[in-house]
Amino acid sequence: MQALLKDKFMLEDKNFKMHLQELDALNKKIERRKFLKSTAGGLGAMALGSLLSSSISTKSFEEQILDALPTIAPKAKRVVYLFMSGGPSQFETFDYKPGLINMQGQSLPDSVRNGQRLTGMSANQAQLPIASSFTNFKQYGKSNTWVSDLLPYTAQVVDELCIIKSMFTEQINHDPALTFFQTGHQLPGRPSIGSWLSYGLGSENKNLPAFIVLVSKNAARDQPLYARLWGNGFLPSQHQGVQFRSGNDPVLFLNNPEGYDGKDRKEMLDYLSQLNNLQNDVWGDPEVNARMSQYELAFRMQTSVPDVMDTSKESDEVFELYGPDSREKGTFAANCILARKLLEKDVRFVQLYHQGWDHHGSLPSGMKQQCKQTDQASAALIMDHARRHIGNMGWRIWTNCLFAR
Amino acid sequence: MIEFIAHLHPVIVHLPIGILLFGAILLAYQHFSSTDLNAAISMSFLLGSISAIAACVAGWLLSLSGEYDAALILKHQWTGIATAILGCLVYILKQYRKLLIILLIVLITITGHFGATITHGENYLFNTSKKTSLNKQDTIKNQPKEITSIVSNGKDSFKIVKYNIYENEIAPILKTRCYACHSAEKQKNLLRLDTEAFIKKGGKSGLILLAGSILKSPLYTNLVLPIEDDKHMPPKGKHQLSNNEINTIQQWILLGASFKDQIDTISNNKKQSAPHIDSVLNKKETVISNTTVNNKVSVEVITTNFPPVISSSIIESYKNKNIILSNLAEGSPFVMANFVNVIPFENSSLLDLQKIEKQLVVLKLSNLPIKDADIKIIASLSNIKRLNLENTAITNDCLPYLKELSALEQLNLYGTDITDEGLKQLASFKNLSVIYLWKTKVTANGIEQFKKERPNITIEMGDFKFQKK
Repeated sequence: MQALLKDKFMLEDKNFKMHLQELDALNKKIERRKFLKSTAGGLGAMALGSLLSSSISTKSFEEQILDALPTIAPKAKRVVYLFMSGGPSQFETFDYKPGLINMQGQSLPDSVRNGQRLTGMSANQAQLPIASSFTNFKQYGKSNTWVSDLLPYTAQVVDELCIIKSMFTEQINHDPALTFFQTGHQLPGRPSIGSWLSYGLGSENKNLPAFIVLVSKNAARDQPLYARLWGNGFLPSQHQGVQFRSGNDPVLFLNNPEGYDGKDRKEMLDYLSQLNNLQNDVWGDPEVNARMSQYELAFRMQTSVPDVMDTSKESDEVFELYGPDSREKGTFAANCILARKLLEKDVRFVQLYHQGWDHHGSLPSGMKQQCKQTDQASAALIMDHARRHIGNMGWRIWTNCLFAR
Repeated sequence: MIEFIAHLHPVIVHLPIGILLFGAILLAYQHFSSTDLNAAISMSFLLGSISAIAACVAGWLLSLSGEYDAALILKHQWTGIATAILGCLVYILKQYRKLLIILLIVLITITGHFGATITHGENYLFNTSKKTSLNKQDTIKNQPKEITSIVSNGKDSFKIVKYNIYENEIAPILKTRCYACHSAEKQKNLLRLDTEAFIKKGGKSGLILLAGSILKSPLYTNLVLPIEDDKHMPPKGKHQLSNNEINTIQQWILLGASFKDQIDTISNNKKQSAPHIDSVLNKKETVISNTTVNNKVSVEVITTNFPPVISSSIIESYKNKNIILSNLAEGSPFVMANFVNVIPFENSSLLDLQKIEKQLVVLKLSNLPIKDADIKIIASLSNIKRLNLENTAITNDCLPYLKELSALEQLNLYGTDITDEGLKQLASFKNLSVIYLWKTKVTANGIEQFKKERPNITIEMGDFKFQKK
């Protein structure tokens, strides 16, 4: 193959460098441009830019506050993010509002909605009546936190939780709100939170991606999920979340093609990266580097992924802790066990998505069903982490999706 | 290179001043004598403008050093840039030259004045008083630095020391690190540090020295503030004091910040709990007991004794050996080491850790075939606070080695062959606060015995079960 290439492109054996008339001309151009840039023009522009920005920009109020805060040493090194897509109702989970019982059926006072936009779902309603919670609440733990009867397992670990009830998004539809949640902006195109973490902190386990996504199979598919929710945006593409699926092929296209025994795979990849290096020298496109590192990671993942996705060695006690669902691959509970295994392997950021929380007409039955699928495993994840000593290094986030009901 | 160009600014600035003014003179001469000098005039304005732009660039580079008063710099910078632009306009707009040149002369004068103010200080124009000689310090004869005599009363021997700390230790530090901005030359913040009277007088923001209290002495506190802090001294970008120098100033203040000779007796036999001249002399990192100074101070004392931050190239070299080092927090010297990528495990890689012994506080050896013999190697890593040995092949026999890790707080032994016998040994670990013992051979009885001896240590047995609903 090398000889063939040599004939075609006049390759030099030694450092595999390509010489084409056009490319050489391009190289010269680039060098001249570089020279011009780095001398007079560059220096002057740099100077003026710096002057203008330093004298015009003033710090925003938020920046001033952040500056004034003492530096906090961050403890968490890993994150498991349980995303409840669709928006679990707060009145059936953690937000106890007994006063609503007496207001049942009355119109929502204007002072509550405050002119907020209505969605397509509710804009045509003649009135907006108040509906109190259909379930009871009790206080649990040393913290006496109110938890709904639909979450009996979470109630038992409530002292391990920090519940924030003040978060909201300004977006009133699912997808922009979801995009805002994951990327910090309602329009698609920015890096997701896991990608930022991968980019900023890097990966510890070199045989697994730093950012892994698991989507529950046993959830109702109401609001769709898109891969861009765990996308890398403008960051190099090795930082995008990698979705692990249940089933025989956890990572798509990772296994060797049928009929290929894979013995010379490493050799093939080495030649490929030589070619890619060549391309990189010519074009200097950072995506070439990203692609090379992905090929290398994928090769190592061929052995590490089957190992980490295999839950057959887990003891019965573990399955009991996570609940009966956990024996069935692809369920939220099974994904929780996988998440724990991945975190144990020092994966930086594991994100679980569970759809089916977008209840409009069938809230009571829907909430019961959804809570049953997620409650025990979420709580078990916390306790399983604690005894394995992964706990005090990680955050767990169980987020709600959307606006008030 | 950039620094070199920056330092050329004071030279380059004189070119536009000279050339542009010379252009103005030619213009005036042409006006009155009606000789055709247009070629020469254009030439001088062109060269003048180019050199003005060059002066701007060099000046900007010089301002990056941050050594100058920012407000003054801002004025000088923008008048300077305006001068360069106006110079270009004078060259291009030939018909308005006579009008523009007057403006230009005014601008050059103003810019020059600001520039001179930056270098020579305010009021330099009318200030005729002679500069107080800095050299006075130098002319003081070198007194004998230390007069020592040993006295013995039979039991203990005492060393009597007479020493002028200020003159011999403090003044030289101030001279090299602070005089540039706080002496006769410049008085940033109206503060001078070159004589006893000036130091005692303080600056615009008040007194800077309270004998005996480092917390109330900005002369010390400003040194140990984070470098990003506006009050940190010397400012970011300037040469910083070494830890030794900071320690010396700290000790001097704690000893009473005297400007005269001090006499002190030092016992040779007993450990000193209070600060002593001796500690200044020997440049020792003195540990100050909490009885003499409150807690907050001792924290500050410790901060000056942090180990150095591990450079990123060293972190990279460990990464090449598959050992992942990560800082506990950004800028923190302390690191955690993770061996998750060391496959297959070889205990020789543990030897590498001895080089970062001071900084290493968390060590993760989880799920590796670690044996008791390997633990011997890590026994010397004395700063480890958290050690993960879960799912390894260790037994009770390694615990005596672990005991040498005196800072150890969290120990994870789940999934190992530790027994009640081993747990008993852990009772003598001084600083231990949590032990993870899920899936070990430790029994409830063993834990009960252990709790009697060490009730404050948390034991995580992993026996959590949900109440069935």
